[in-house]
Amino acid sequence: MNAPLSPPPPARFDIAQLRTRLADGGAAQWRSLEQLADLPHFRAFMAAEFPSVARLAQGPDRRRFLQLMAASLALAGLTGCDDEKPDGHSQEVPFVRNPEHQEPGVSYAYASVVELDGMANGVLVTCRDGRPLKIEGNPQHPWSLGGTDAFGQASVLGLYDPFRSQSVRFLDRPSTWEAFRGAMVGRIGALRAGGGRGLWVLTGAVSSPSLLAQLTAMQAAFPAMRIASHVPAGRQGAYAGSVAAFGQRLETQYRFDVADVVVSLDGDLLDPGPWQVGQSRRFIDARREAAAQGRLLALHDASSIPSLTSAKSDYVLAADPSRLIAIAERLGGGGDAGDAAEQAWTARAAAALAAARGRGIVTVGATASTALQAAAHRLNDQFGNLGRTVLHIPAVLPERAGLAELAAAIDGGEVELLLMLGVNPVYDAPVDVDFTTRLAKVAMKVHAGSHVDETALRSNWHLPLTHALESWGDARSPDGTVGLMQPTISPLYSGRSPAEILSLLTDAEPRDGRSMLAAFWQASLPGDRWPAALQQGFVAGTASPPITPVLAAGEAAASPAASSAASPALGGAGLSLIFRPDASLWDGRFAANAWLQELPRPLTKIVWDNVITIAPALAERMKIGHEDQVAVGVEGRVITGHAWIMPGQAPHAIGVTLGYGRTDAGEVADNAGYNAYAVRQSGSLWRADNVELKRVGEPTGRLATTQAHNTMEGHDLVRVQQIGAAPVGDNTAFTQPTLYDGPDESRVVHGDGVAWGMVIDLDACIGCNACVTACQSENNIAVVGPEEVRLGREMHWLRVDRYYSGAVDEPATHFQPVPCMMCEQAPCEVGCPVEATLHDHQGLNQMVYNRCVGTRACSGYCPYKVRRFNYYDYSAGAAPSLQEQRNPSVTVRSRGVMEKCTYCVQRIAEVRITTDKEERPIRDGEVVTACQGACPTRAISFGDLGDRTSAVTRARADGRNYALLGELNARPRTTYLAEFAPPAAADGVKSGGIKRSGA
Amino acid sequence: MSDVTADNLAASNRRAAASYIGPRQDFISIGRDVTAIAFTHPGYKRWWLAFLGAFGLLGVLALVLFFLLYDGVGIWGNNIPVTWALDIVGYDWWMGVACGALFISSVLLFSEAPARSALNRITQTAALVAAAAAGIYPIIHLGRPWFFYWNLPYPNTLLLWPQFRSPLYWDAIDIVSFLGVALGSWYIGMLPDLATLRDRAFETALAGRRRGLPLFRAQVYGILALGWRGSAVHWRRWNASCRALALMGIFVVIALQTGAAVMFAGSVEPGWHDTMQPVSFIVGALLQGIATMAVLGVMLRAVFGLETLITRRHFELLAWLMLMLGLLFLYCYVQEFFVTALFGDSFDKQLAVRRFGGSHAWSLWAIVIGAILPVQLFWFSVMRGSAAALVVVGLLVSFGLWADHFMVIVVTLQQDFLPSIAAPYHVALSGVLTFAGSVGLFVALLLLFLRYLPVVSIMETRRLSALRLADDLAHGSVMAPALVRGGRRRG
Repeated sequence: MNAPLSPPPPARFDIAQLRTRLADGGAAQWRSLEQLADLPHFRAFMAAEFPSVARLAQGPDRRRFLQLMAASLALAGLTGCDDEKPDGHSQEVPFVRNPEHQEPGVSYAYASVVELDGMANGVLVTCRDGRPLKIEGNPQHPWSLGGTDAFGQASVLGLYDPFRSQSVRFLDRPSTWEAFRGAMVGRIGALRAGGGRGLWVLTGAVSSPSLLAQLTAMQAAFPAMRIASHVPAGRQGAYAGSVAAFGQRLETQYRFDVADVVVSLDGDLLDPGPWQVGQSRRFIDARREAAAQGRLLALHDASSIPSLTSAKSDYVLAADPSRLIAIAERLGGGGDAGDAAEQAWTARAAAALAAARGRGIVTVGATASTALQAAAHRLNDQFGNLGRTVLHIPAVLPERAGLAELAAAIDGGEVELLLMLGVNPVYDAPVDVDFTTRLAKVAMKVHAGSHVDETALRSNWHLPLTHALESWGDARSPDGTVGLMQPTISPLYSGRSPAEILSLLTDAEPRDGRSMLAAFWQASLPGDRWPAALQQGFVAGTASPPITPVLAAGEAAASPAASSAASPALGGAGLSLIFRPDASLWDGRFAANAWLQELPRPLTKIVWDNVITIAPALAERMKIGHEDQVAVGVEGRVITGHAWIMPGQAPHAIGVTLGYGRTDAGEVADNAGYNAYAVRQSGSLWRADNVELKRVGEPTGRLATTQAHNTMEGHDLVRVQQIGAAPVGDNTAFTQPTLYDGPDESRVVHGDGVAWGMVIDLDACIGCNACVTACQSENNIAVVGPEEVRLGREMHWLRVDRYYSGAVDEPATHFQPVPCMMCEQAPCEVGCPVEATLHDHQGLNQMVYNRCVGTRACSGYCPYKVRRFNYYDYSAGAAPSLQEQRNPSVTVRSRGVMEKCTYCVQRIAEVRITTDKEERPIRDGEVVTACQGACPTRAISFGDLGDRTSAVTRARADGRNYALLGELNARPRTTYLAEFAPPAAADGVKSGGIKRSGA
Repeated sequence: MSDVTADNLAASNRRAAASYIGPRQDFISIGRDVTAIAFTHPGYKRWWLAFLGAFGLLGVLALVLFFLLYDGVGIWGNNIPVTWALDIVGYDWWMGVACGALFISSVLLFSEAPARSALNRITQTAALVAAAAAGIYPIIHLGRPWFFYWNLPYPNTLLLWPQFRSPLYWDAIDIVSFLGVALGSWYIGMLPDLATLRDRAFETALAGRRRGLPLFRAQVYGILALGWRGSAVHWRRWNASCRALALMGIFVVIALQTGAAVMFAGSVEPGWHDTMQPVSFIVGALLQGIATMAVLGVMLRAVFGLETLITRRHFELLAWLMLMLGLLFLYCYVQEFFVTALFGDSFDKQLAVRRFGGSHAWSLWAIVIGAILPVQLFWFSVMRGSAAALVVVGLLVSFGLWADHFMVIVVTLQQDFLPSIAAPYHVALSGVLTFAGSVGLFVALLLLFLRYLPVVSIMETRRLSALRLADDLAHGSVMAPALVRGGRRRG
């Protein structure tokens, strides 16, 4: 206790009374006058500080003592019944009589939402035996339409994270909620008396209507209270842009289904983030629909840092950060032309926009500058897209003060009690705010978070937050739809939700999350509508209707000519540093999530680390090699990391990602990568100009990546279908000459006539990794850590290969998810001497783990190398809480055993059992693999190839269908649909930057 | 060999045969020289030094195996896609030594070549010991080595059998058969010599004052000799079994190397899926076996002072064989290269390019420098007779063949079809230590065998000396009693 804390109310000893008490034969021994006086605050102190002795301090009476003795003797015998090693299961007692509505081993799904930066995606949480095990998309949810993202999929691991904060902490020592409330009652009372002056609440992004209402109510009770919000990777930029253009804070939505062309400037249309699921689905659906009509919904992208959006775009331009505004102007008909590549791209995009008046879309990313945001709004207005393809709804997130205001208030000594709900500003505040120093000046700091993180360690109180899967709540989706969050398990630890914490502070009687949420929605969802809404996971009809904003006066004509500078000559000067959220860790909040840490970043395929990406031209010019150590200096502050030469990056852009360089975030998160926040400025969150770049060292060999080769090396592994051209698909895999008799289909339809197969649409795959995480979650796939990944031993059953084609400066990017191909004539099966891998009657290539001796011949024989081997006992030694996450339907593989994608055979078996019982065939779409269910863009079709009408059979009949390495005659059951590309006629302008044949 | 008499051989043959032993060796001297090694051990200090070295390496093997069994095969640095690396390289290499050695001994025995006299015991022992060194790999390289017996067909309650289609299963059967044949031909071939040792040991024991240990030794040799009395029936049966085992030895060598080759050829992998693979494997194994035998022969000759029993004629024979097999090996490589260049698909061609210039290109150049070029020295007569040249070339060829297995396995696995799966593979220290340990196992077992058992076949060399005596008698240069005295059968 070495820091200021609320002093206990001064003790008052009535000496005379003490004497009487002693004389009456009170306590024979006493430690202090407080104990002797038996003051309430002493009892509270005892309870908080020594919870186990608090009872004893009172001293048992004779009767209680005898009870205890008897119980101890009886219980002593029980020790013989227990396993000596506590493994998390030794306390389990089977049900004598089953609880109602619970069948052992049967899965239930609850509708809920997972939230990222205040924005919700609808999900179904699969629970079994009281444990949430898997996140699925909620197909009824109006925004996410059944898709999920990697963050949502991995959130289930976050629930069982053994490093989660488990108890209230006071000055970094365990404490209790009672102690916290006791300590706060006086303070809050005093603050209430002062109208709330000195009380600041700092939240993350909050869209929850109930929480906002609670905050509003609190604001009413504490009129002078201030609420600030801190969102490190938020959408402030987009709001600022809409304010600049329309004078109001708006969300922009796109109607891809009625669009002919999409032009993206520094866009994040398909990139990770709260918008990814819904937006990518709408885009890909529209693209699919357009292709069916024989046209291409082309995506033109000009950006400085390659992203999933630029990777999927048909016309890509690596544009220097300083040129983006000029390009926007040029699209509108003004501005200067730029170099040849830029000219070609701009002319093509401008022509396409002009040709598709009212059916075009200009989009910018949330990380783009306000000027660029505003320029995009103007362009949409200019091309008549507003209200047609580009719609606006009121901002989902309310306007709040930022860290700057809070910092100013702290400097002014106006902050007495700072309540930080679910934020970690000590780590992720911009460096110029100097939050750590400022925080020290606040008298009472209360931090609520999921982990004891950097901020928790510097606060007086730390409160554990419940996980989304343990809490009641609600949140809006990007379209405004309110999703309802319901717990699927009682809190594993003593956490409370933000709403419960606020209630604890302000209400006379703390209320629980459920009653608060129910009370809030009672008015609008009376009677049966409330349980119905809970059941479907969202409140129907809450999507915000579009509004038609008017371009602010003068804006249409305004031209920020000052910013349209030409690219300076390459060299040390004129470099811009571009910040991006990490594709897996986002702003750093998922740093403790091992699945996300080990998830290969979509473009670099790096795991457990972040890199400083530079353009090939810049690397060449500055003689920086791949993985060399470089230092980036911004206004005297320096970060050092590994350089990564990034094909398609603009020559004057240096890319850094947030989320790494943690110091106090636990075993999984610490000591990896660099901390980009250390050079981030609050004035310009996403871009710093005039930065210095210097090579400071040799490669360390510390980087772990899952893909070392970047091109297809002359093979047509990813095929590209130009719109209007002859089909590129073929049936080579099934037309190879053979010496054996029998009709060609004999192997497809055998056994009971069901032949499982999968078709992956490469045009729909945006490389988002949701499938990889879903597979990991469903199939108990072990995390191996960076050292093992460096050795080439990652365990993912499903990988997303990324290939580049074309010029290194402006390449086309291709994604190709590779699960097991389930070859009908599987090369692997020939190798196994013990028949541990073999075919079942429905054509699945199966792994029998308990028969496998680990010769690894199958992997050597596999042309696709989709098999993974347990070189060590990777699954052993997991924390008990992590073991709770494991899918009981899937074997946890031991050391020395080969494993691979099974087409989620456990799901097939489950459906097979159900349909057998009901004596009916399996319906198409009844079996959904984990990857298929997770995919936000529905790129994966799965089903029975023996069924002529199934979706997968239809997909296989597509002219784009081809088998990877079909010429090997392994007859893979997994096939691919070629990517779409612009028609050959559009090729006249320039070949660079246009998606072309993969090879 | 009882039917081989002086009368059946032409005089020139006799003279040629006689050149395989030194001029002063006769019946008695052979028995004395060879049994002396087993009993009194002339190179005592050198043997102990060599054995300590080998024992140290054996300790390394024990240590590596402890970690391997405790932690898992991960300690070797193998990964996905390089699931097989030094483990299978080591296995194939040792099997090459074993097969080459057994093949030579079998061919020599079967063809009744006179050169077998001194070489047979060394080759048979080496075949057995190398097979033991090789045999640990298929077990310890498994992810779950404690279930290695699942690879073998044995009746069990689950009614599970190995998969008979798998080349790995064939390989398991091959190596078990190989061990059987190698052990049989080694042991049965040694019976007459064990009887000689037994007789000499009893003589020594009964003559000496201290009876305990010498008598015990004599009893052990007596048990090992299985009651060999040297009767004509014994000799006839012995001869028939030796020839039968020699024939089986040739078959099992071909079967094993073909099976090992099909472990690769049976896949669809570029560089593996090749019908020439079995031929290359057999040629490579023979070349390697002969090279190793040459090194061993020269070294044992030096260590045990067997200059009069292992002669220049032996060297020349080995040199000619190495040259011939080296040329065949070169042919296999050239053939594979041209077939790939002319008819190979793009994956095969890219693999060929990686073999020449990829991250493990050193292995191809090690083959050229180790296995293909040095044997050309044996075009020169002076080199064929040189013990030093034989050792140097033999070692180079052995290394070259090791690199051959490395290249075939690692370069293909490291990147086969999809560029995305290519992952770097680095040789891990523990993999090297495992191989060093297996060398220790080989050398230690060999030294033990050679310490307590006849280094060269007493019976065979005696036969040669008998032939020469017959020849000399025919030319009247030696008195008859020499034959009578030496011909008294002692075992």
